[in-house]
This record gives sequence, C-alpha cells and structure tokens, in this order.
Amino acid sequence: MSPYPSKAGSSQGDSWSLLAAQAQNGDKTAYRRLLKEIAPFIRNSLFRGLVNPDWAEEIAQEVLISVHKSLNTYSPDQPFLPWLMAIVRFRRADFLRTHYRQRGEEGQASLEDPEFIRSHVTDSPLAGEYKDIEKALADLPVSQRRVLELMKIRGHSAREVADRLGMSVSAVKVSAHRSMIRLKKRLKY
Amino acid sequence: MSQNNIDNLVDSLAEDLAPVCRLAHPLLRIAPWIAAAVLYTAGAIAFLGLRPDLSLKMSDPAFLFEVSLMAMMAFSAALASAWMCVPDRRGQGWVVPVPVTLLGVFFLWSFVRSYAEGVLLPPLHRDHCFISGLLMGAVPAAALVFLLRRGAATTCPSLMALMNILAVGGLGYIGLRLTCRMDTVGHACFYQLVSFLVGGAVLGILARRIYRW
Repeated sequence: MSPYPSKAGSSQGDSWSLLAAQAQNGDKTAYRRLLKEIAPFIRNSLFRGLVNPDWAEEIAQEVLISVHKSLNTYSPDQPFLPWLMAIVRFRRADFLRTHYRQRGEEGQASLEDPEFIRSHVTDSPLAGEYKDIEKALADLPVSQRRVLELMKIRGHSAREVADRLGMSVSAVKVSAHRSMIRLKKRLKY
Repeated sequence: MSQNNIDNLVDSLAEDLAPVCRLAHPLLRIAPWIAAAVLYTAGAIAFLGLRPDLSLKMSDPAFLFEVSLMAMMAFSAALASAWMCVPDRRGQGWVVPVPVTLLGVFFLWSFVRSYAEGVLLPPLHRDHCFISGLLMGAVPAAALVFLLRRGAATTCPSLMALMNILAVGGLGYIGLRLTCRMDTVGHACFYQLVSFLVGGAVLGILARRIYRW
C-alpha cells in the first residue's frame, strides 16, 4: 500500500515536480500554485493519526515554511512526493516532540499548587496574563524576540526590521511567523 | 487556525521567492571533503610519524583487513552524510545501513580477535592515542559539519551525527593504526576509539541544534 494519500497520483506528483522546478528558477506564479496545491494535500495527510485536528493546520504551516527553506534541495529529476512527505514526517515528529515536552513541563503547574496560584492569580488582577505573556516572550530565542518586538509591538514593517537587523525580508517574515506560532502554543494553556 | 492563515503564508512565501541555486549532487558535494580529509589524515600521520614496524604490518592480512574495513566504513558514512542533506535522500535509503553494517562487522571482528588473542588493556600510549585521535578527528569533523550545514536540510539529525562520526572516526582510526604500534584489541577498541566516542557523544547531543533548519 502506498504511504501517500491516493488523491495525489503520479500525474499530480509530476505536475508538482514541474512547478517546483519552475519555482527554483524564481517563477512566483508557479510557486504560489505549487504551495496552494500542496497545502490541502499536506493537511489531509496530517489529519490521520493526530489527536487534535487543529495541529494539522499548524504543522502544515511549518511544512510550507520548510518547503520554502529547503527548495534548493529538491532535484527535478527525482519524484516530488517522497521529498515532500519526508519533510511532512519530520515536521510532524518535531511538532509532537516539542508539544509533549512542553506539556510535560507545564503539567507540573497546577491550580492546586499554592505557589502557582499566588504567582499567577492573586498578586494582581492581570498579573497572571501579563506574566504569562512576558514569560512566553522571554522563552523565545533572542533573535526571534527582537523581530517580534519590532514588528508586532513597535509596529515596524518587515522591510524596516530587515534593514535594521541585517536580515532578508523573507527571513524576518518567517521568523515573525514562527514566533507567533510559538507564542500561541505557549499561551493556549 | 484558518484557511486564511495558510493563504496569507502562501502569499508571503511566494512573494519572497528568489531563484535558488540547486544543491549539487551529494557525490560532488562530499568529494572535496573526502579528498581534503584523506590529505589531512596523511599530514597528521606524517606529523606524528609512521609506526616503525609498518612494513611488517603491511603484509599482515588481519591488519590490512581491519584498515580496509574502516576505510570502507569512513567513505560510505561520508557518502551517506551527503545524501542525508536531502529530505528524502534522493530515494537512496540504502546508503545509511552500509556504514552501520561495516561498523557491526568491525565490532564482530574485534570480538573474534579478543577471543583469539585475549583483551589486553595496557595503559601504555593512552594519552598519546587520545590526543592523536583528537588531532586527527577535530578538524575533519568541523569541516564536515560546516560543509553539510550549508544549504542542506536533513530530516534525521541524530542519524546524520552518527554518519558524521563514523566518517571522521573511520579515517582517524586508520591514522592511529598507522602511527601507534600497539595492536591489542583492548587498546585498539578503547584507547584509539575513545576520542571519537567522546566527539560522537557531543555531536549527538548537539545534533538537533547543529542541523536545525
């Protein structure tokens, strides 16, 4: 039995292979089409075996970013699907590993713990929320935090942040995107 | 999360697309490292000095078998490292089991030798072999990691670290066998491998950070 969802037959794979080759040459239209076509395919392949269907959306985004970053590693003379599915499996495993590790760490905090109640609830009306946000921000890597602060708190554009930090606009957007995902994940609980 | 998020991300990624330089064929990528690592090991051997009984050992089939085995393991592990830079290894999944199997054969060989010759672990040459191992392994390991990180995207960081250390350790071990005249199984399997085991442990712990993308 094929490890890939049946929706994507070989002709679909061939078409994506062609689009990926065009994207490697800088064809933005082909690239947009490729990403739009593979996004639902990735999501569908992720739905199976995930406890929470929302995770499929998050992992799909991670996969799209990874495809963007590793587009140079694709060889047009090779089939596209195995390359894509290797990334999907990797990102899925990475997401689940991170998720369960974080849950394990946070599982130690409980409303039955007086110290947790004092520090998160009783000190001031909004103490818990602010502290959670500050803590989540502090947990981000320094470079990601800097990008997030400049873009989302101070309101600079991606271009301004890129110029200021000596990064590419693409890298800034990707960094901000990843930071937001991390923050959302941290603040969900 | 909604479809909008995906659409926005797709638009953002497509907007930022620039032509990419395709990753060269794994064989072409790793060939310079293999050449440089062999030259470096030869230089290190020359620096440390060949063992005085080398001409005698070159006619010993057991010695030649062991050195050939490690050479094959080192080269196959280097090739596997290069293939692992591509998420699906270009369909060449078989490249990984080869060096692992050769490592298994080496340990089996050493086990058989230990039965035949006994495990002798004299402390002689301990520091010499540990430091020489570091000398032979550190630079090729750093060069290999530097080379593989450039533009690559491995989906198995830990396995990649294992392949790296097998490549570096195999070459370094050959270097040590050609410079140190201690031939006992205990010395070869412990003192001559310990520096690579330490390096492998460090690389394994840091693998997810080093090869993150």
